[in-house]
Amino acid sequence: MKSKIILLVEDNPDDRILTVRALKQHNISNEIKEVKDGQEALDYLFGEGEYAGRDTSIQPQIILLDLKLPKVDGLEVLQRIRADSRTRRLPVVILTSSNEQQDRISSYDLGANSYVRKPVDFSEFIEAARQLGMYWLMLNEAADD
Amino acid sequence: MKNWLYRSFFRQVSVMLLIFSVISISAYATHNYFELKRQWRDAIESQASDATRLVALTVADDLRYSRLFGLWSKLKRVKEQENQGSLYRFREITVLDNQGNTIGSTDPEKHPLIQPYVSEAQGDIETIKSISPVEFGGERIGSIAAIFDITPFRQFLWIHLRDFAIYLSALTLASVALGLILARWITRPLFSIQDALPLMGSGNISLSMLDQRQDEYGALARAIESADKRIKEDARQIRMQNDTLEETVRRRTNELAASNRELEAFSYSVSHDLRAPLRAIDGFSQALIEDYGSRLDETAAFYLQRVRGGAQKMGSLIDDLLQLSRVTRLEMKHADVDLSSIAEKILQELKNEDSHRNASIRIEPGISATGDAGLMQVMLQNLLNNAWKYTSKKDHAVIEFGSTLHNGENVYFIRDNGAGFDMRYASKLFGAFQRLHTEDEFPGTGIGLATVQRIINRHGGRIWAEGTVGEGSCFYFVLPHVAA
Repeated sequence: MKSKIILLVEDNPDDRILTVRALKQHNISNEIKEVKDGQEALDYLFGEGEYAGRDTSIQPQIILLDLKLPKVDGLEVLQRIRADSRTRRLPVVILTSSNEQQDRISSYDLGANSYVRKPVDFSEFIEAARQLGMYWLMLNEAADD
Repeated sequence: MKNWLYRSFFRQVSVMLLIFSVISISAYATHNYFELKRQWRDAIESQASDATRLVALTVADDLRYSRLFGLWSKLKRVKEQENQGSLYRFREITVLDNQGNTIGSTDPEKHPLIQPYVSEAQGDIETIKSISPVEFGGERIGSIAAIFDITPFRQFLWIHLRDFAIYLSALTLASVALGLILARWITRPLFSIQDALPLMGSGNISLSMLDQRQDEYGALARAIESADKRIKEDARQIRMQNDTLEETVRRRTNELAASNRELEAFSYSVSHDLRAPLRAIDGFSQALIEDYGSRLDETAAFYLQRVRGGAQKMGSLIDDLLQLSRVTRLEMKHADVDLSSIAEKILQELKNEDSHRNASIRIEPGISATGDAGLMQVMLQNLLNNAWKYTSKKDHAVIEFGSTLHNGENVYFIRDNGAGFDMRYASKLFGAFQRLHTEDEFPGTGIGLATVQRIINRHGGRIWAEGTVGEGSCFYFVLPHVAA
């Protein structure tokens, strides 16, 4: 169970609260690691900075990534995730706040797996999980029922 | 012949000169010949008359005293003596008495026969005749009739004429040659002008051989030189203005690009940042309803629903405004677009979302247009959403997409049997934020048709609508055919 972490990269506290709430609301009881900007996300993933010494063999099962982030923006985070062998295969779901076509195209180009509209459109989220073959999310849901 | 002649100015001048020379010289030669002939003949006739008179004096004694042998031998002597080299000579001299009887003649057949004198034409010999009285002691005793052979004169005339013809031919040739030289001399500057003209505008034309001349060529050469310089100067100024213009265009383009980028960043910011607080309002209202619903009374729950409704309305306003501005800015890529299948998909989605509705949808298959696929999608989405929305209160909705030929133009139409509109307000339909229905009747932002019209305008097309309140409306549009 310890490895089934959801990493939420989101700078807006309102959106963080609402996202966590939506996931809990739908009986997803995984540990949700919240980070506030792109740098912190990278530090967490690669065990650097304030996360120095973290066991990087333990990686989140899914990353919910906002695009507009302070310090290092979401597209760059995605790029770095895809460039590193430790994180290359991690499923990344982009949290979008708009229908901006450009955001979608460039993040698909960089290897995003899916999209979910903010804070979390739950039906979209489940659909994304299904596409990613992450049955454990739904399994969780069923188990807690 | 005409083409040959008009191929060169020089040729025309030469031919004219030749014709003129030949005509004028032959006219002069003919006149000269006849004049000469007349003068010489007059002279010969007067000489012949003098010679005849002399013979009359010589034979007067012999005639008076009837010394016929002496008379005859004198006549013979005269005839032979006068034969030497002159232009005329006695051919026949006859002496007649007053009664007209022949007394003696150099013609043996007439002498001494008495018979009237008959002038004879003998073949090629040309003759003239002269008669002179014979007087003795103041008394006329007979007459001398002389016939002169003037064939040598004719020969002389012919020789003279031949010489004259040779002389005139030489003159003609000389004058033609002179004319040709003159024509060449006149036309030659044309070649240097012809060579110079392609350089017109270079400022390098220098007709130094011509421009000092005081004649027409000098004036022409100076005019060409000054035109050349003026054109060069004009061209330089136009180039300068062009450069300035290009610079201005470049600057404006950069400014425009910068302002476009700014606008882009602005829209991006609007779409992301403006939405964040809305999400919070909507999200926390929802959380309140869901988590604390049991502790809220009906009014509080209603108010929270209104808060959510407002937040969502603002969300769609932001979406629509962004779409409107994007529709204007986006670069268009023209392609053949299958409108029928796009319409099919849009209506299918609408049906899926609202599966309880009873609606007939008629889409003419295979309708296509040339345009930007993304914009066509947005346009049809807006029009069909409207049709779907405004038929929502009908028991049986009918929505139709088709095309028809009108005045030779292919007109597309989207027809519904929905709420329709009052034609008095038709002009307001396409204005941004203009609505013909209240929010309670049909929700909406009033931006959709403005977006549609912008898309049509950007494609160079036209859109208009017809409607009847309560019976439905029909939107027509025309898209010009552009090569994809």
